[in-house]
Amino acid sequence: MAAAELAMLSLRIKPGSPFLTYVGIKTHKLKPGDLNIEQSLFVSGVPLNFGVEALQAVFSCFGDISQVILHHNKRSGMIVFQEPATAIKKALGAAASRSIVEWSLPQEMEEPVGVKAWVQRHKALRPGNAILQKQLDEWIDNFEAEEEKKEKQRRTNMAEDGWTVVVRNKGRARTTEADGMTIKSGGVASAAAEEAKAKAAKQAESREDFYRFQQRDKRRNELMDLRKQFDLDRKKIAELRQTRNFKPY
Amino acid sequence: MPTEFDDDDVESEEETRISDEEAIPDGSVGTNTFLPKPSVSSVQDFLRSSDTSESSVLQMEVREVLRETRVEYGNEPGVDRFISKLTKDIQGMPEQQVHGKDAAGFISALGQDPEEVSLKFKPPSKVTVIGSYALHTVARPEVVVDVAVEIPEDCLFKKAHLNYRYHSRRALYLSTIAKHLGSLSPLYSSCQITSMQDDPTRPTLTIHLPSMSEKSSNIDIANEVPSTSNEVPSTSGRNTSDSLPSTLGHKKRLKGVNNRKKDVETKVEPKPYKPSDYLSPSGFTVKVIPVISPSTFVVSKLSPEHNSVRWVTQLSSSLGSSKQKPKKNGPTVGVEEEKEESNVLPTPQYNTKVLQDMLYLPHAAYLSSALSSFPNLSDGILLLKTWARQRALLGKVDAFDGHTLTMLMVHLAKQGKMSPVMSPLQMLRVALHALSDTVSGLPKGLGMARDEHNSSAISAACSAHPPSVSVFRHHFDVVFVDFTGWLNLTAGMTKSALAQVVSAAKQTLQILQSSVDVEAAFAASLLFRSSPATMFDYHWRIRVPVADLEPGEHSSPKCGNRPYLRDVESKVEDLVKRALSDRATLVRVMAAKLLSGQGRSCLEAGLPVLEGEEGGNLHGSSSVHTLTVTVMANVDATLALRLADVGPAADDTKASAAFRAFWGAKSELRRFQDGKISEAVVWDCAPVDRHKIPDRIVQYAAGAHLPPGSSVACCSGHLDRVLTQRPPGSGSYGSEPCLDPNTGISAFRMMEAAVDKLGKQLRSVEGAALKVLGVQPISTAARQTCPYFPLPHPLAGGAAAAGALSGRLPRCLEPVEVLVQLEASGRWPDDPQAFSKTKAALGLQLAGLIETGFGYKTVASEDSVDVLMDGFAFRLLLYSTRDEAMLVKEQALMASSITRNVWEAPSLHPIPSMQLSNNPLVRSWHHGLVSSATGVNPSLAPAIRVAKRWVGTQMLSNHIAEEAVELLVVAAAASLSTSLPPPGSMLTGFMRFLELLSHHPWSTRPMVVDPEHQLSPQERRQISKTFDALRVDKHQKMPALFLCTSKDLESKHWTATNPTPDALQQLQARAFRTLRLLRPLIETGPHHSAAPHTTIAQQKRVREEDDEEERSLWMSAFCLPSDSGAMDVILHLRVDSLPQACRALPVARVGSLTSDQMGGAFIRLNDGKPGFNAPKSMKRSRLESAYQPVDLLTDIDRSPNPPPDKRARVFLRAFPEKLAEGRGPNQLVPELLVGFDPVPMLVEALKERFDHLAAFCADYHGGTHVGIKWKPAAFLPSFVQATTAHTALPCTLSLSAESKKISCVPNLVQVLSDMLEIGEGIIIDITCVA
Repeated sequence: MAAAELAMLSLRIKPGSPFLTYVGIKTHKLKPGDLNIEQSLFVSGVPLNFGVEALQAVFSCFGDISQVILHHNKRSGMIVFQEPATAIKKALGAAASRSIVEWSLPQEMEEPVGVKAWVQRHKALRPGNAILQKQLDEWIDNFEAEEEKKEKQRRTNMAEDGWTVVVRNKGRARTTEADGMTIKSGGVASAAAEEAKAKAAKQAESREDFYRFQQRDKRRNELMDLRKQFDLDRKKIAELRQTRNFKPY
Repeated sequence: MPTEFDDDDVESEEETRISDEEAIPDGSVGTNTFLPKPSVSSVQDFLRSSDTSESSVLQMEVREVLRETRVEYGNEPGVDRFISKLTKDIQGMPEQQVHGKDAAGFISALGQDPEEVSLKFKPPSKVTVIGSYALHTVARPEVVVDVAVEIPEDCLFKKAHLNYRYHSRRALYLSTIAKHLGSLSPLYSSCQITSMQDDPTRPTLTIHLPSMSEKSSNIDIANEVPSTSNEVPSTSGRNTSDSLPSTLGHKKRLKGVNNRKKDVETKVEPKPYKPSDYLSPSGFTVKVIPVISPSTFVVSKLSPEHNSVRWVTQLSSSLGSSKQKPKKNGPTVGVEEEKEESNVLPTPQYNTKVLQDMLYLPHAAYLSSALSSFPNLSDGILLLKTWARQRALLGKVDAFDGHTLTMLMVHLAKQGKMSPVMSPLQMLRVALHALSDTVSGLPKGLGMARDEHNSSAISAACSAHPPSVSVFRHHFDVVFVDFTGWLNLTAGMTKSALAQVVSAAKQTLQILQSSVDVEAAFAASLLFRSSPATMFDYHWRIRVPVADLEPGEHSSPKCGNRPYLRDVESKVEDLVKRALSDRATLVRVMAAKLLSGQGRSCLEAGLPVLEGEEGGNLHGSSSVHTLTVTVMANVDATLALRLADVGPAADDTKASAAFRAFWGAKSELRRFQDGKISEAVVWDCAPVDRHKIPDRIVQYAAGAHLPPGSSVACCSGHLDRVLTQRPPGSGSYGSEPCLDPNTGISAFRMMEAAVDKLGKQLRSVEGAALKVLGVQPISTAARQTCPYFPLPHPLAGGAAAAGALSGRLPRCLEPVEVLVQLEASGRWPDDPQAFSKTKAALGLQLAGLIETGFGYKTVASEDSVDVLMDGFAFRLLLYSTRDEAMLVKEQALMASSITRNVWEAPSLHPIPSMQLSNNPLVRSWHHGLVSSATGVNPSLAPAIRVAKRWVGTQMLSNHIAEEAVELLVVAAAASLSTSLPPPGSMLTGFMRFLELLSHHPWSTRPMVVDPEHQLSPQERRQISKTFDALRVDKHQKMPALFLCTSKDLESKHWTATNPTPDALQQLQARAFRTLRLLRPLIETGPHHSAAPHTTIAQQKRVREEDDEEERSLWMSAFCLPSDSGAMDVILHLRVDSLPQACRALPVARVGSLTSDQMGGAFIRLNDGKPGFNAPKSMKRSRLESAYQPVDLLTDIDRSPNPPPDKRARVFLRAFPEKLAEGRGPNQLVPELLVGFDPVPMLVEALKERFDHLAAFCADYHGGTHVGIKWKPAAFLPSFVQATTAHTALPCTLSLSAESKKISCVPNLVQVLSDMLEIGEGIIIDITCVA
C-alpha cells in the first residue's frame, strides 16, 4: 500500500497578517484489521499552541468531526470525520486549490504563557508536602490493588489447570492455604543454590584435559585462535596506518 | 605458544587427522578450512613481533614515525647537484686581501679595531658535507645540510685563538664567501648570515632553497630584469610563513639566472642545469660553517682551565655575584696578553667554541666510521631526535643539538649498551636511560672512550694529556667529553636544561614501561608536541636593567667568556631556584634566541642581538640596557600553595645567617607547634590568592637580589577575573562592582559547615521507616568545580535571615545536591516505577521529620526533597542499596524501548538520554572520581572552573555536559596523555584541557579517564574493541567524544548524545583558537610599544595602558570570535528573567573598538512583541579583524525593550524591590524557586521543535543570549515530511503531476515568530547577523 503524499493546506490564523501558516494533510491509510478508526485525516505540522479544540474548529469546515487525536508532541494528529469520504475529499481539494482557511486563534488571557508557564510547571511539581503525600498514597494504593488483582488472576488461572503453586522463597519452608489452594514456599536459599551451581560448573570445567583428544583439541584451538588473532592484528595495523597521522611535526 | 606450529606432535597429529577429513568430506574440522594457511614470511613476522598484539602495533607505529622523519637520500639529486656546485664555486674563489671594515661593527663589538684587522683570503683547503646529512640521520621536516669550509692554516696566526681574534678573522672569511656567492649566481640570493647555535660570535652562512612545489608554481612569471646586486634578503626563514616574502623575491631573481646562464655559464659547465634542478621536493637549507684544522691552535691552551680572553678578570660586577663580567678597558694587542695577568679567570665556554671549530672534521670522520659499522643505529638516532624535538629540547642553545645526540648514541653503542639486533624503540629506551640515570648517566657526566686513531691529528700537534673529567665538571654544568678528551659536547647546556632533560626522559621511560595502554603511551611520548606554555606551570619574564655597558668607549666588549646575557640568565636561574626551594620541581630559564630580523648585514652593524637584549643600544645614547630573562617552573601543586617557608633552626647560626642574608627583612624567627624555633618566611594571603604565592616569592627575590628597577611579569593571576563573582541579582556587567573575591570561598566554607550539620541531623532523625546511614554532597559546588559558588540567601534560613532583608533578593536558588543513603531493606518493590514512588514517599516522610524536628523549610517533589537551611538549598536525593539493581533494570527497559522505537517511528520518540546521567548513583560515582582527582592535585579544581566558564563563554554549554568537562580536565592532567608531569597551576591545567580537546584524535581513539588506575588491561582492551566496533558500524550512533571511565566502559554516561560531531568540531576549533591566543601571551608576553618615555608620569601612564591592554588580551580568550560567522541569529534574553545574569563576563575590547563598530549588519526583526513586523531597520558597519569579539551586551543596552506581556512576565533575577519591602519573608519564601533555570529550558524547548533546522548555542553560566546557527542542509528545497512539516513553506502548492510531492523550504518568518512565542517573557529581541 503506497503511502499518500502530504498536501499543504493554507491557514490564516492571525487575522490581517500577510503571512500564512501551512499544515500538511493526507489520508490516513489503515493497516488491515485495524478497525477502530474508520478512515481519517492525518495532520502534520500542527502550528504552535494548537490544541484539540483549535484543530476541531479549523477542520470542522470540511465536515462534522467525531474525534480529534493529537500526538503528545503536539505536532501531528488525526482527525476522524463523521462522514470521512466526503470530508477528506473536500479537505484535499481545498489544499490543492490553494484556498485559505481563515480562523483566528482565540486569545486566552488568563492562562500564563512562556516563562511564566514554566515557573508554574515547576511549582506544580512541588504542590506542597501534604498534597504530594496524598498523591503518592493514592498511586501506591492503586498500584498495590492492581498488583493484587494481577496476582490473583494468575493464581486462579493456574489453579484452574489443577496445579499446586510452588514459590521459592528465602527462609524456612512454609505451606499456606489460601482460597482452597495449597502454596508451598521457601526451603531453598537462593544464594546457597547459586553457589552450589557455580561449584558444580567449576568442577565440570576442571576435568577438561583429562583425555588425550581433549588436550589435542585444546592445543589446536589455541593455535587457531593465535592465527585468528594474528590476522586480526594485521587488519588492525593496516587500518591504523590508514586512519592515523604519524607525523611527529 | 607459536613454536608449537613446528612441533613433531602437531605434525603427527596432522597425519592422523587426514583420515578424519576423509571420513567427513566437507568437514569443517581441519584448520585449513577455517583460515588460509599463513605464509612462512608472515609467520616469521609474527614470531618476531612476539605474541602480543601490542608489541606489533608498537613496532608498526615506530616504523611509521621513522618513515615520516627519514629523508630519502638516494632520491635527492637536487641537493647533491647543489652541493657540488657550491663546493666548486667556493673552491674556485680567488685569493684576495680582505679588510676589517667589511665587518666593522662585528669586529669592534668584539673589542678590536677594524682598521687593524685584515685577512689574507685563500680558498678553503677542504669543503665537505658533515653533520646529519652526511651521516644520513636528518630528521624531517627540517632538512639541513652542513657544509664545512676549512680555513687554510696560513690565513691565521698561531696566537689568533686569543681575545676573539680568531672570531673576527672567521667572520671576515665567511663574509667574503657570502659576498662572492651572492655576486656569483642568483641561485645563492637567499644566502644570509646567521649564527651557530644562537652564539652571536660565530656566524654561519645559511642558504635556503624552497621546495619544488613552491618554486614551480611561480616558474612562469613574466621575465624581469635580474637584480645583480649582492644584497641579501632581509628575512631569514625556517618556517615557511616567514620565508614567504624572501622566496618570492628570490624566485624573480632565479628567473634571471635562467637568462644569464644561457649566455655566460654554458661555456663553463658542459651540461647546464636549470635552477629547478637544484631543488628538492621538500626544500632544504644549506649551512656553510667555517672550520679550522685540528692543528691550527695548540689544543692544550684551549682546555677548560685556561684563559683565552684576557679581559675576563676577577673584578666585582654589578650583579654582585662571582660570575664574570667583561671589564671595561678593551684589550689592545701588545705585551699585556703575553704576560698572564694574575687575576684572569678561565674561559671554558670560549675555549670550547674554538675547539669545536677545530674538531668538526675529526668528529665527522669518527661518526661516519662508527655508523657504517652499526647501520641501524641511525634509526635509533632519528627516534631520539624526534623525542627531543617534541619536548622542545632539540636545537635550543642550552639544550641538545643533533650532533650531541648522535654522539650520545654512538657512545652508548661503543660501550656495548646497544646491539645491532635491537629495535629502534629499544635503542630509544637505552638512550633515555642514559640521559636520566643519576648514577652513570648524563647527570653524573659522561666521557667517551679515547679513540687514538681518530684523535691522532690532535695528539700529533700536542703531546699534552687531555684534562681530567673533574676539571670539566668544575667548569661546566653538564659534562659529556668527546673521544679526543678535550671537548665537552654539552658545554652550552645549563643545569636547568639538564633538569628538564632528566625529568622528561624519566617521564617518558615511565609511561613507556607502564604499558597500560601502549598506543596512548607511544602517542604521548613521540607524537605529542608540547609547548612551554603547557609544559610549565609558572611563567615569569624578569627584566633586569644593566647600566654598566657604557657607550662611547670604542671597545666595550659585550662578550667575555660568553655573551653577557647568558651570565644574567644563569644568575637568575640560581636565584629563582633558591627562592622557590622545594616548591619547584623544575626551574627552567629559557635561553634567549637570536632575534631573527637582525641577520641581514649583522657583521657590519655589530653583534647579532639576542631576544632578551632589546632597548639599550638601539637608542644610541641611552645608558640603561634592559635584559629580559624568561623563567618557567614546574611546581609541586600542593607545596606551591604553602604559606610559610621554614628555614634553619635558630641555634644553627651559620645556616640562619645565610637564610637571613637571602630573605632579608622578610625572614623572621617563629615558634612552631612542635616547639621548634626557626627562621621562617611567611606569605600571608587570602585563600583565593594562594596560587599567586610563587609569583610573590619570585618578585620578592628579584627585588632583593637583582639590580634596582628589575621587574617581574607574571601570568598566573590573569584568569582570576573570569571567576570573580558580582552581587547576586545584579544586571549586566559594570552596573555594580564585583564582590570581594574571597566571598566565594567563604560561602563555600559556610556551605560545607551546613552540609556537615545537616548530615548529623539527618542521621539522628528518629521515626523514619528506614534509617539514614550516610550523607554525601554530590554537586559540583561540593567538589569546588562549579564556576561560581552558590552564595547564602537571606530567605533560606540561617543567620543571614535575621539580618535586614535589604537590597535585591535573588528569586532562584541553586540547590546543592546531597545523596542520602538509606539502610538496606528487603521490602522494596521490584517494579522500577513503584520503587521510585516508594522512594518519594520515604523522602516525604523524611521531609516531614526534618521540618518538625529542626524547623527547616522543606519542599518535596517526587524526585527529591529540597531543604532550606543556613542560607542554602539542599536537594536530598535518596539512595538505597537497591538502586544499583534498579538502574540495571531501567537500562534494560530503556534499551528495549529504544529498539522498539527504532522499528516503529524513529523520530517521534526522542531517546531519553538524560535519564542515565541524572541518576544519583551515576552522579555519586562521578563525584568520587573527580573529587579524588582534585584532592590529589589542588590545581585541578580551579582549572575545571575556568574550563567550564570557557565552554560557557564560547556559548557551548548545552553541547557538552559539565561532567564531561571535568573528566577532560582530569584526563588532560594524567601523564599518559601528555607524558608531562601533572599540572601545578590553574593556568596550566586549563591549557592542557584546551590542548587535549583540540589535539586528541577523537574520531580514531577513545579517551580513557582513569586517574586511580582501576581499569584492568582486559577492560582497556574491551574499550578499544567497543570503540572500533562502533566506528565501523554505520548504523549505530556513536558518541563523538568517546569518554570512558572505570564505571562506564562504553561512554554512556555523559557524552552519549552530546556533543554531536559538529559541536565537537566547534569545540575543537575554539579551543585551538584560544590556545593560539594564549600561548604567545604566556611565553613571550604582549608586545609593548618600545618607544622611550622620558617622564615618569608618561612611563606610568604607558604602563597602565599596557596593563589594560594585556588584561583585555587575556579576556579576549573568553569571547566569541566575530569572524567565524559563529551565529546566524541572536536571541536577546531579558535580564530580569535570568537568575544568573550577574555572572555574565565583561566583553573584552581589543584596540579602539566601540559598540558602533561592532556586530556586522543587523536586521532587527521586531520590537520585542510577537507578531509579524517586516524587517525594520538595517545597520551596516564594517567587520573588524579576526580577534574581535561579538559585542553582545552593548547592543542590548542601546535599545531598551518594553517589558513583556503580563501573562508571561516573571522576575527571576530578583524579587522586585517594592514587592520585597511590601511583603514579609514569610510570604516571599514560598515564591523562591529552587533549581529553576529558564535558559536550559528555553534551549530544550527550542531544540525540541527546531532541532532539524538549527543548532542552538547558549551559555548556562550567566549568558544573556542564545545563538542560533542554521544547518545549511535544511535550507535546500526538499520534499515535505511529516516530521518537519511544522516549519515547511511550500514552494509550490499543488502536487506536481509527476512526483506527487511538494518541495518545501523552511518557513523562516514562521520559525522566528514561533521562537518568540515559545520564549515569551524571556526573549525580548531577535537580531539576524547578516
